[in-house]
Amino acid sequence: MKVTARCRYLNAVAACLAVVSVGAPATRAQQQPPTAKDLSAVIEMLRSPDPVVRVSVACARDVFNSSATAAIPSLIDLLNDAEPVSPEVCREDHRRWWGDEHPITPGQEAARALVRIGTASFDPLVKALGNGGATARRNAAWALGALDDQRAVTPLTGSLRDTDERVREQAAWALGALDDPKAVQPLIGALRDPAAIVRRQTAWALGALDDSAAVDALVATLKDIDADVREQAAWALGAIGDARALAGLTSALKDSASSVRRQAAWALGAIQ
Amino acid sequence: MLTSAKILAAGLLVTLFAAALAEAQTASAATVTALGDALKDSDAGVRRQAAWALGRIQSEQSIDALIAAMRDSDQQVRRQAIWALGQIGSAKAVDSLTAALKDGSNEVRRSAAQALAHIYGRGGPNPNPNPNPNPNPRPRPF
Repeated sequence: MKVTARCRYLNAVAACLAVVSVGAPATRAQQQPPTAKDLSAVIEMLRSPDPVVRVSVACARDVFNSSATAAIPSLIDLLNDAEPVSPEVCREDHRRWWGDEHPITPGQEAARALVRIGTASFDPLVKALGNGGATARRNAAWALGALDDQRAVTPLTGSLRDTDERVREQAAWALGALDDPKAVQPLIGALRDPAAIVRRQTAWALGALDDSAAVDALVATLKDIDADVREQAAWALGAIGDARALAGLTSALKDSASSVRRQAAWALGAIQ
Repeated sequence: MLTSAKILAAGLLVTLFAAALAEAQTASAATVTALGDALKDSDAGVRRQAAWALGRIQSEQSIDALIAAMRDSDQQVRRQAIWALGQIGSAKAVDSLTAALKDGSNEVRRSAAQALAHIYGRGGPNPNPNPNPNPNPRPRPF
Protein backbone atom coordinates (compact mmCIF):
# COMPACT_ATOMS: atom_id res chain seq x y z
CA MET A 1 0.00 0.00 0.00
CA LYS A 2 2.79 2.40 0.85
CA VAL A 3 4.51 1.85 -2.49
CA THR A 4 1.28 2.23 -4.47
CA ALA A 5 0.91 5.70 -2.98
CA ARG A 6 4.38 6.56 -4.21
CA CYS A 7 3.49 5.54 -7.72
CA ARG A 8 0.08 6.97 -8.16
CA TYR A 9 1.19 10.17 -9.91
CA LEU A 10 3.36 8.43 -12.42
CA ASN A 11 1.97 8.22 -15.89
CA ALA A 12 4.66 5.75 -16.78
CA VAL A 13 3.13 2.73 -15.17
CA ALA A 14 6.24 0.75 -16.02
CA ALA A 15 8.11 2.53 -13.24
CA CYS A 16 5.56 1.49 -10.70
CA LEU A 17 5.50 -2.03 -12.03
CA ALA A 18 9.25 -2.20 -11.62
CA VAL A 19 8.86 -1.29 -7.97
CA VAL A 20 5.53 -2.89 -7.15
CA SER A 21 4.38 -5.94 -9.02
CA VAL A 22 0.63 -5.44 -8.50
CA GLY A 23 -1.90 -2.71 -8.03
CA ALA A 24 -3.43 -0.36 -10.62
CA PRO A 25 -2.70 3.33 -9.96
CA ALA A 26 -5.69 5.27 -8.64
CA THR A 27 -7.07 7.17 -11.62
CA ARG A 28 -8.58 10.01 -9.62
CA ALA A 29 -5.36 10.70 -7.79
CA GLN A 30 -3.43 11.18 -11.05
CA GLN A 31 -5.04 14.56 -11.60
CA GLN A 32 -3.65 16.09 -8.41
CA PRO A 33 -0.22 17.74 -8.33
CA PRO A 34 2.59 15.75 -6.71
CA THR A 35 3.25 16.45 -3.05
CA ALA A 36 6.73 16.90 -1.61
CA LYS A 37 6.59 13.33 -0.37
CA ASP A 38 5.74 11.97 -3.83
CA LEU A 39 8.51 14.04 -5.33
CA SER A 40 11.07 12.64 -2.92
CA ALA A 41 9.97 9.14 -3.95
CA VAL A 42 10.43 10.13 -7.56
CA ILE A 43 13.88 11.54 -6.86
CA GLU A 44 14.80 8.28 -5.16
CA MET A 45 13.68 6.32 -8.24
CA LEU A 46 15.76 8.56 -10.51
CA ARG A 47 18.77 7.04 -8.71
CA SER A 48 17.59 3.45 -9.23
CA PRO A 49 20.26 1.00 -10.41
CA ASP A 50 17.79 -0.17 -13.09
CA PRO A 51 17.96 2.06 -16.21
CA VAL A 52 14.36 1.13 -17.10
CA VAL A 53 13.20 2.62 -13.81
CA ARG A 54 15.33 5.75 -14.28
CA VAL A 55 13.97 6.29 -17.80
CA SER A 56 10.34 5.63 -16.99
CA VAL A 57 10.39 7.92 -13.97
CA ALA A 58 12.08 10.68 -15.96
CA CYS A 59 9.52 10.46 -18.74
CA ALA A 60 6.52 10.59 -16.42
CA ARG A 61 4.59 13.54 -17.83
CA ASP A 62 2.53 14.44 -14.78
CA VAL A 63 5.40 14.69 -12.36
CA PHE A 64 7.75 17.25 -13.86
CA ASN A 65 6.15 20.67 -14.05
CA SER A 66 7.04 24.06 -12.59
CA SER A 67 6.32 22.81 -9.05
CA ALA A 68 8.88 19.99 -9.30
CA THR A 69 11.99 22.19 -8.93
CA ALA A 70 13.23 19.96 -6.08
CA ALA A 71 13.99 17.28 -8.67
CA ILE A 72 16.29 19.52 -10.74
CA PRO A 73 19.62 18.49 -9.13
CA SER A 74 18.83 14.76 -9.55
CA LEU A 75 17.77 15.29 -13.17
CA ILE A 76 20.95 17.26 -13.87
CA ASP A 77 22.93 14.35 -12.39
CA LEU A 78 21.08 12.01 -14.74
CA LEU A 79 21.97 14.02 -17.89
CA ASN A 80 25.19 12.10 -18.45
CA ASP A 81 23.42 8.72 -18.24
CA ALA A 82 23.66 7.12 -21.70
CA GLU A 83 22.45 3.60 -20.89
CA PRO A 84 20.15 2.62 -23.78
CA VAL A 85 16.64 1.40 -23.02
CA SER A 86 13.85 0.27 -25.34
CA PRO A 87 11.58 3.16 -26.40
CA GLU A 88 8.66 0.97 -25.29
CA VAL A 89 9.35 2.28 -21.81
CA CYS A 90 8.15 5.75 -22.85
CA ARG A 91 6.17 4.51 -25.82
CA GLU A 92 3.57 7.23 -25.71
CA ASP A 93 6.05 9.96 -26.60
CA HIS A 94 8.53 8.10 -28.64
CA ARG A 95 6.43 6.34 -31.16
CA ARG A 96 5.27 9.64 -32.54
CA TRP A 97 8.70 11.21 -32.96
CA TRP A 98 11.09 8.38 -33.54
CA GLY A 99 9.20 5.20 -34.30
CA ASP A 100 10.20 2.24 -32.22
CA GLU A 101 13.70 1.54 -33.44
CA HIS A 102 15.66 4.20 -31.55
CA PRO A 103 16.75 3.34 -28.03
CA ILE A 104 16.25 6.06 -25.45
CA THR A 105 18.43 6.93 -22.47
CA PRO A 106 17.89 8.27 -18.95
CA GLY A 107 19.94 11.33 -19.92
CA GLN A 108 17.62 12.21 -22.79
CA GLU A 109 14.54 11.74 -20.66
CA ALA A 110 16.06 13.82 -17.87
CA ALA A 111 16.61 16.62 -20.42
CA ARG A 112 12.96 16.41 -21.42
CA ALA A 113 11.87 16.48 -17.78
CA LEU A 114 14.02 19.57 -17.15
CA VAL A 115 12.37 21.32 -20.08
CA ARG A 116 8.97 20.46 -18.66
CA ILE A 117 9.96 21.94 -15.29
CA GLY A 118 10.78 25.14 -17.18
CA THR A 119 12.73 28.32 -16.37
CA ALA A 120 14.06 27.04 -13.04
CA SER A 121 16.13 24.52 -15.01
CA PHE A 122 17.87 27.22 -17.04
CA ASP A 123 20.89 28.04 -14.85
CA PRO A 124 21.63 24.43 -13.86
CA LEU A 125 21.48 23.47 -17.56
CA VAL A 126 23.93 26.23 -18.54
CA LYS A 127 26.26 24.90 -15.86
CA ALA A 128 25.92 21.32 -17.14
CA LEU A 129 26.61 22.57 -20.67
CA GLY A 130 29.89 24.01 -19.44
CA ASN A 131 31.22 21.32 -17.17
CA GLY A 132 29.18 18.12 -17.48
CA GLY A 133 30.33 14.94 -19.24
CA ALA A 134 30.02 14.78 -23.03
CA THR A 135 26.57 13.15 -22.93
CA ALA A 136 25.38 15.63 -20.31
CA ARG A 137 26.63 18.56 -22.39
CA ARG A 138 24.80 17.23 -25.44
CA ASN A 139 21.54 16.68 -23.57
CA ALA A 140 21.88 20.09 -21.90
CA ALA A 141 22.37 21.73 -25.31
CA TRP A 142 19.19 20.10 -26.52
CA ALA A 143 17.25 21.18 -23.43
CA LEU A 144 18.49 24.77 -23.75
CA GLY A 145 17.27 24.84 -27.34
CA ALA A 146 13.90 23.43 -26.32
CA LEU A 147 13.50 25.78 -23.32
CA ASP A 148 13.16 28.67 -25.74
CA ASP A 149 15.06 31.22 -23.64
CA GLN A 150 17.37 33.34 -25.78
CA ARG A 151 19.78 33.93 -22.90
CA ALA A 152 21.10 30.49 -23.91
CA VAL A 153 22.53 31.82 -27.18
CA THR A 154 25.83 32.93 -25.63
CA PRO A 155 26.64 29.64 -23.81
CA LEU A 156 25.47 27.61 -26.83
CA THR A 157 27.70 29.66 -29.12
CA GLY A 158 30.58 28.63 -26.88
CA SER A 159 29.53 24.99 -27.30
CA LEU A 160 30.06 25.28 -31.07
CA ARG A 161 33.72 24.91 -30.06
CA ASP A 162 33.14 21.91 -27.74
CA THR A 163 35.66 19.07 -28.09
CA ASP A 164 32.84 16.56 -28.75
CA GLU A 165 31.23 16.70 -32.20
CA ARG A 166 27.86 15.46 -30.93
CA VAL A 167 27.75 18.40 -28.52
CA ARG A 168 28.60 20.84 -31.33
CA GLU A 169 25.89 19.26 -33.49
CA GLN A 170 23.31 19.63 -30.75
CA ALA A 171 24.39 23.19 -30.02
CA ALA A 172 23.93 24.05 -33.71
CA TRP A 173 20.44 22.61 -33.56
CA ALA A 174 19.61 24.56 -30.42
CA LEU A 175 20.86 27.81 -31.95
CA GLY A 176 18.63 27.23 -34.97
CA ALA A 177 15.68 26.49 -32.69
CA LEU A 178 16.18 29.61 -30.55
CA ASP A 179 15.71 31.94 -33.51
CA ASP A 180 18.08 34.71 -32.40
CA PRO A 181 19.98 36.54 -35.20
CA LYS A 182 23.00 36.85 -32.86
CA ALA A 183 23.71 33.19 -33.65
CA VAL A 184 24.14 33.75 -37.40
CA GLN A 185 27.81 34.76 -37.43
CA PRO A 186 29.01 32.00 -35.05
CA LEU A 187 27.05 29.46 -37.11
CA ILE A 188 28.64 30.73 -40.34
CA GLY A 189 31.98 29.91 -38.68
CA ALA A 190 30.70 26.42 -37.79
CA LEU A 191 30.11 25.68 -41.48
CA ARG A 192 33.85 24.96 -41.50
CA ASP A 193 33.64 22.47 -38.61
CA PRO A 194 35.78 19.34 -39.16
CA ALA A 195 32.78 17.04 -38.51
CA ALA A 196 30.22 16.63 -41.32
CA ILE A 197 27.34 16.07 -38.86
CA VAL A 198 28.07 19.48 -37.35
CA ARG A 199 28.26 21.22 -40.73
CA ARG A 200 24.97 19.63 -41.77
CA GLN A 201 23.17 20.68 -38.60
CA THR A 202 24.69 24.14 -38.91
CA ALA A 203 23.37 24.49 -42.47
CA TRP A 204 19.96 23.51 -41.15
CA ALA A 205 20.18 26.07 -38.34
CA LEU A 206 21.10 28.84 -40.77
CA GLY A 207 18.12 27.94 -42.93
CA ALA A 208 15.89 27.95 -39.85
CA LEU A 209 17.21 31.37 -38.79
CA ASP A 210 16.30 32.61 -42.27
CA ASP A 211 18.93 35.36 -42.40
CA SER A 212 20.30 36.59 -45.73
CA ALA A 213 23.68 37.25 -44.10
CA ALA A 214 24.33 33.50 -44.38
CA VAL A 215 23.72 33.22 -48.14
CA ASP A 216 27.32 33.55 -49.36
CA ALA A 217 28.64 31.05 -46.81
CA LEU A 218 25.86 28.58 -47.65
CA VAL A 219 26.53 28.94 -51.39
CA ALA A 220 30.16 28.06 -50.66
CA THR A 221 28.91 25.06 -48.64
CA LEU A 222 27.21 23.74 -51.81
CA LYS A 223 30.76 22.58 -52.63
CA ASP A 224 31.29 20.75 -49.30
CA ILE A 225 32.91 17.30 -49.64
CA ASP A 226 29.95 15.66 -47.82
CA ALA A 227 26.75 15.15 -49.84
CA ASP A 228 24.46 15.42 -46.78
CA VAL A 229 25.99 18.80 -45.99
CA ARG A 230 25.52 20.02 -49.57
CA GLU A 231 21.90 18.81 -49.53
CA GLN A 232 21.22 20.67 -46.32
CA ALA A 233 22.88 23.82 -47.63
CA ALA A 234 20.64 23.68 -50.70
CA TRP A 235 17.63 23.32 -48.42
CA ALA A 236 18.74 26.28 -46.31
CA LEU A 237 19.19 28.47 -49.40
CA GLY A 238 15.68 27.59 -50.54
CA ALA A 239 14.35 28.37 -47.08
CA ILE A 240 16.08 31.76 -46.99
CA GLY A 241 14.88 32.49 -50.51
CA ASP A 242 17.56 35.00 -51.52
CA ALA A 243 18.14 35.37 -55.29
CA ARG A 244 21.92 35.63 -54.74
CA ALA A 245 21.86 31.85 -54.36
CA LEU A 246 20.49 31.19 -57.86
CA ALA A 247 23.84 30.77 -59.64
CA GLY A 248 25.23 28.41 -56.99
CA LEU A 249 22.04 26.34 -56.88
CA THR A 250 21.96 26.17 -60.68
CA SER A 251 25.48 24.66 -60.62
CA ALA A 252 24.32 22.24 -57.91
CA LEU A 253 21.84 20.78 -60.43
CA LYS A 254 24.94 19.02 -61.79
CA ASP A 255 26.04 17.65 -58.39
CA SER A 256 27.25 14.04 -58.33
CA ALA A 257 24.67 13.13 -55.64
CA SER A 258 21.02 12.91 -56.70
CA SER A 259 19.87 14.00 -53.23
CA VAL A 260 21.70 17.29 -53.76
CA ARG A 261 20.36 17.79 -57.29
CA ARG A 262 16.86 17.14 -56.01
CA GLN A 263 17.19 19.61 -53.17
CA ALA A 264 18.78 22.22 -55.46
CA ALA A 265 15.83 21.93 -57.86
CA TRP A 266 13.48 22.36 -54.91
CA ALA A 267 15.38 25.41 -53.70
CA LEU A 268 15.33 27.03 -57.15
CA GLY A 269 11.55 26.67 -57.19
CA ALA A 270 11.25 27.88 -53.61
CA ILE A 271 13.23 31.06 -54.28
CA GLN A 272 10.87 32.21 -57.03
CA MET B 1 21.05 73.42 -64.02
CA LEU B 2 22.49 70.17 -65.14
CA THR B 3 26.18 70.08 -65.68
CA SER B 4 27.64 67.63 -68.15
CA ALA B 5 29.22 65.79 -65.22
CA LYS B 6 25.80 65.23 -63.67
CA ILE B 7 24.40 64.00 -66.99
CA LEU B 8 27.35 61.67 -67.33
CA ALA B 9 26.84 60.35 -63.78
CA ALA B 10 23.14 59.81 -64.38
CA GLY B 11 23.87 58.06 -67.66
CA LEU B 12 26.41 55.84 -65.93
CA LEU B 13 23.89 54.91 -63.22
CA VAL B 14 21.25 54.04 -65.82
CA THR B 15 23.80 51.89 -67.68
CA LEU B 16 24.85 50.12 -64.50
CA PHE B 17 21.26 49.49 -63.54
CA ALA B 18 20.42 48.12 -66.98
CA ALA B 19 23.51 45.90 -66.83
CA ALA B 20 22.51 44.58 -63.42
CA LEU B 21 19.00 43.90 -64.68
CA ALA B 22 20.34 42.11 -67.77
CA GLU B 23 22.62 40.03 -65.57
CA ALA B 24 19.71 39.07 -63.32
CA GLN B 25 17.72 37.99 -66.36
CA THR B 26 20.66 36.03 -67.75
CA ALA B 27 21.05 34.19 -64.45
CA SER B 28 17.35 33.38 -64.49
CA ALA B 29 17.51 32.13 -68.10
CA ALA B 30 20.51 29.97 -67.20
CA THR B 31 18.54 28.57 -64.26
CA VAL B 32 15.56 27.74 -66.47
CA THR B 33 17.86 26.04 -69.02
CA ALA B 34 19.58 24.04 -66.27
CA LEU B 35 16.23 22.98 -64.81
CA GLY B 36 15.14 21.96 -68.31
CA ASP B 37 18.24 19.76 -68.50
CA ALA B 38 17.41 18.39 -65.03
CA LEU B 39 14.11 17.15 -66.51
CA LYS B 40 16.34 14.55 -68.22
CA ASP B 41 18.23 13.61 -65.03
CA SER B 42 18.77 9.89 -64.39
CA ASP B 43 17.04 10.24 -60.99
CA ALA B 44 13.23 10.47 -61.10
CA GLY B 45 13.18 12.53 -57.91
CA VAL B 46 15.37 15.18 -59.54
CA ARG B 47 13.15 15.25 -62.64
CA ARG B 48 10.06 15.57 -60.46
CA GLN B 49 11.54 18.39 -58.44
CA ALA B 50 12.82 20.20 -61.54
CA ALA B 51 9.32 20.12 -63.05
CA TRP B 52 7.95 21.52 -59.79
CA ALA B 53 10.51 24.32 -59.80
CA LEU B 54 9.68 25.19 -63.41
CA GLY B 55 6.02 25.40 -62.45
CA ARG B 56 6.98 27.91 -59.78
CA ILE B 57 9.24 29.94 -62.06
CA GLN B 58 6.60 29.98 -64.84
CA SER B 59 8.89 30.83 -67.71
CA GLU B 60 7.54 30.30 -71.22
CA GLN B 61 11.08 29.25 -72.10
CA SER B 62 10.52 25.92 -70.32
CA ILE B 63 7.32 24.87 -72.11
CA ASP B 64 8.94 22.57 -74.70
CA ALA B 65 11.03 20.77 -72.06
CA LEU B 66 7.93 20.29 -69.89
CA ILE B 67 5.89 18.97 -72.82
CA ALA B 68 8.67 16.43 -73.43
CA ALA B 69 8.60 15.50 -69.71
CA MET B 70 4.92 14.58 -70.08
CA ARG B 71 6.23 11.39 -71.73
CA ASP B 72 8.44 10.53 -68.73
CA SER B 73 8.38 6.90 -67.56
CA ASP B 74 7.70 8.09 -63.99
CA GLN B 75 4.09 8.97 -63.32
CA GLN B 76 4.98 11.58 -60.68
CA VAL B 77 7.22 13.36 -63.17
CA ARG B 78 4.40 13.44 -65.71
CA ARG B 79 2.05 14.87 -63.10
CA GLN B 80 4.52 17.53 -62.05
CA ALA B 81 5.14 18.51 -65.68
CA ILE B 82 1.40 18.76 -66.24
CA TRP B 83 0.98 20.83 -63.10
CA ALA B 84 3.81 23.12 -64.20
CA LEU B 85 2.28 23.62 -67.65
CA GLY B 86 -1.00 24.49 -65.96
CA GLN B 87 0.82 27.06 -63.83
CA ILE B 88 2.51 28.62 -66.84
CA GLY B 89 -0.92 28.73 -68.46
CA SER B 90 0.22 28.96 -72.05
CA ALA B 91 -2.12 28.03 -74.90
CA LYS B 92 0.91 26.32 -76.46
CA ALA B 93 0.55 23.45 -73.97
CA VAL B 94 -3.16 22.85 -74.45
CA ASP B 95 -2.85 20.19 -77.18
CA SER B 96 -0.35 18.15 -75.17
CA LEU B 97 -2.41 18.51 -72.01
CA THR B 98 -5.50 17.38 -73.90
CA ALA B 99 -3.56 14.33 -75.11
CA ALA B 100 -2.65 13.57 -71.49
CA LEU B 101 -6.37 13.16 -70.75
CA LYS B 102 -5.83 9.71 -72.32
CA ASP B 103 -2.84 8.78 -70.13
CA GLY B 104 -2.87 5.26 -68.68
CA SER B 105 -2.73 6.55 -65.11
CA ASN B 106 -5.88 8.06 -63.67
CA GLU B 107 -3.80 10.35 -61.42
CA VAL B 108 -2.14 11.74 -64.54
CA ARG B 109 -5.51 12.20 -66.27
CA ARG B 110 -6.83 13.99 -63.19
CA SER B 111 -3.81 16.33 -63.11
CA ALA B 112 -4.26 17.05 -66.83
CA ALA B 113 -7.93 17.85 -66.32
CA GLN B 114 -7.08 20.16 -63.42
CA ALA B 115 -4.35 21.89 -65.40
CA LEU B 116 -6.67 22.46 -68.36
CA ALA B 117 -9.44 23.73 -66.10
CA HIS B 118 -6.87 26.02 -64.49
CA ILE B 119 -5.80 27.43 -67.87
CA TYR B 120 -9.35 27.92 -69.15
CA GLY B 121 -10.78 28.99 -65.82
CA ARG B 122 -7.95 31.51 -65.27
CA GLY B 123 -6.99 30.64 -61.75
CA GLY B 124 -9.10 27.59 -61.01
CA PRO B 125 -7.42 25.23 -58.56
CA ASN B 126 -4.31 23.47 -59.84
CA PRO B 127 -3.28 21.50 -56.78
CA ASN B 128 0.32 20.32 -56.73
CA PRO B 129 0.42 16.54 -56.37
CA ASN B 130 3.92 16.40 -54.95
CA PRO B 131 5.26 17.05 -51.47
CA ASN B 132 8.67 18.69 -51.63
CA PRO B 133 11.78 17.29 -50.04
CA ASN B 134 12.59 19.36 -47.02
CA PRO B 135 15.20 17.73 -44.82
CA ASN B 136 15.15 19.03 -41.29
CA PRO B 137 17.53 17.02 -39.15
CA ARG B 138 16.80 17.39 -35.47
CA PRO B 139 19.34 15.61 -33.31
CA ARG B 140 17.77 13.67 -30.53
CA PRO B 141 16.33 13.97 -28.02
CA PHE B 142 13.30 15.68 -29.40
